[in-house]
Amino acid sequence: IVYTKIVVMSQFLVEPLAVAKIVLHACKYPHTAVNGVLLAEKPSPDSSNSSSKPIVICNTVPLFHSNLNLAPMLEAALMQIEATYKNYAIVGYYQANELLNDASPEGVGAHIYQKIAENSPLPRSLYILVDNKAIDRKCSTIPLIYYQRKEAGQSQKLERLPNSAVAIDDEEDCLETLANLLVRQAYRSLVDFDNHLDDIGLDWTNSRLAEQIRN
Amino acid sequence: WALYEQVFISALDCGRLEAADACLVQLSRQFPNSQRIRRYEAMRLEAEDNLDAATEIYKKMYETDKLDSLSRKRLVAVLKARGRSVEAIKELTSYLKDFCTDFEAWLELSELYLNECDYKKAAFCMEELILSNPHHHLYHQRYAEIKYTEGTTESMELAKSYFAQAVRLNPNNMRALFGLLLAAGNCASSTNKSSTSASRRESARLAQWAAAQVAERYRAAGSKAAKFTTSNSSNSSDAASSDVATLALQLSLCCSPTAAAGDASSPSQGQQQPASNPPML
Repeated sequence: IVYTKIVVMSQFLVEPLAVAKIVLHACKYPHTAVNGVLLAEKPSPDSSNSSSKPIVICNTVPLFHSNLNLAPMLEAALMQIEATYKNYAIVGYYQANELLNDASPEGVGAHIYQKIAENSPLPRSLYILVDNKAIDRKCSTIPLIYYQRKEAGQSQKLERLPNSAVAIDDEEDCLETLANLLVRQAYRSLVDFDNHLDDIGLDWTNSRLAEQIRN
Repeated sequence: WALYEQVFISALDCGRLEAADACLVQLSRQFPNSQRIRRYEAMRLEAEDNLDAATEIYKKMYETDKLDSLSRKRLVAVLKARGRSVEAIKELTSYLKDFCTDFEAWLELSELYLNECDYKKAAFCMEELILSNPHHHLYHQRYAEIKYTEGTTESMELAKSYFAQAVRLNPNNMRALFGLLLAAGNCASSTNKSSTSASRRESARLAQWAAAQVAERYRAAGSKAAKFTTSNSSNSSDAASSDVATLALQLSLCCSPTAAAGDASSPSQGQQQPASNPPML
């Protein structure tokens, strides 16, 4: 990670792998809503809990593309994620809405995000909403909108974060990789938790896809 | 000609409006003054996002022919596309009063209610579907999921029964197995006064059985994956499957001490659901 001035000043840093998985997941199911969680490394117990350093979101787990509102599978998925990724913590949530024009983060997604934010070991949590209208083959911009909860506690409000608050690691390279992946239709090999439940042989950690993206 | 129709609809789905137009021209030449072609014209307008004109056509078609179910359903789709889910629900409910055996419509209505977080009505829709088709495991499983999400003790008991029924109907339904594991676990550690220690023991046994089933499935899947993949990924999938197997067994073991002791407190609750999102609404 190159700690440029922009990166140092931002609250979150999202790695290209995370961006790619989110956009690929949304592209795989253009006709329904999709959601998933964001992962970051767990802070080591002896490190100072400095809230000034940006939180690095290094990976995501795509969860569902149908029945996003139902609890049992969500609970099962979160338990498996916590058991599998022992060095990482769930620090955020992403969602792509069903309708093209729907850019609202409210609804069940917001509730899930609030619960995640309450249980997260890191001081801040991120809610990424995919901007459906901004996804295109040329990949001129990162098609994501960022939200965060206003304050801990009773307040359920989500406030929109300016793009400066969230940096993408090596943005140009990321956009190029994304364009490549979309052309190759790499989203076909993405496995979300729904796919996994239909066929448990499928790997929801997407380790093969991650290798592809890194190269 | 059926092929023309299918290509037309697929072209609309992909956004290839020129291809869709070509099909539509051929179809309207072959079948002039056809209601079906009129509906396709309206769908073409929908694809262009000209929702007002499409709605007009559907309304006119419905007025001329009260039995035209397909145009009524398209109307619901247009309302849904506009984001007006409350109106869509209203329209769909009045449609279902006339055509109460349309399973797809009940399923769609159930989803619309879920988006509005109206779990009772969504459950009602699933009940209609179960009544019509009692051997379909997916309906039982979906109903159980809705009941689980509701979160009350009675609904959790119901969820447990329906997940069990879904597993009986299809033992390979992973969602039903996971659901059974979680629901039975919740029932076993329930602190509600109405649950007896006998029922909690029963739930715990059910949870353990479900956990064993899940573990077995994962081990089978892990070994299957090992045959087809290189050594690297087979190690990871083996590890993953054994992880889940141990997790499942751990969960079930959490239930048994509580039930065996028969006491009301549930020390395992926190451990059982490390990142739980129970009745969050």
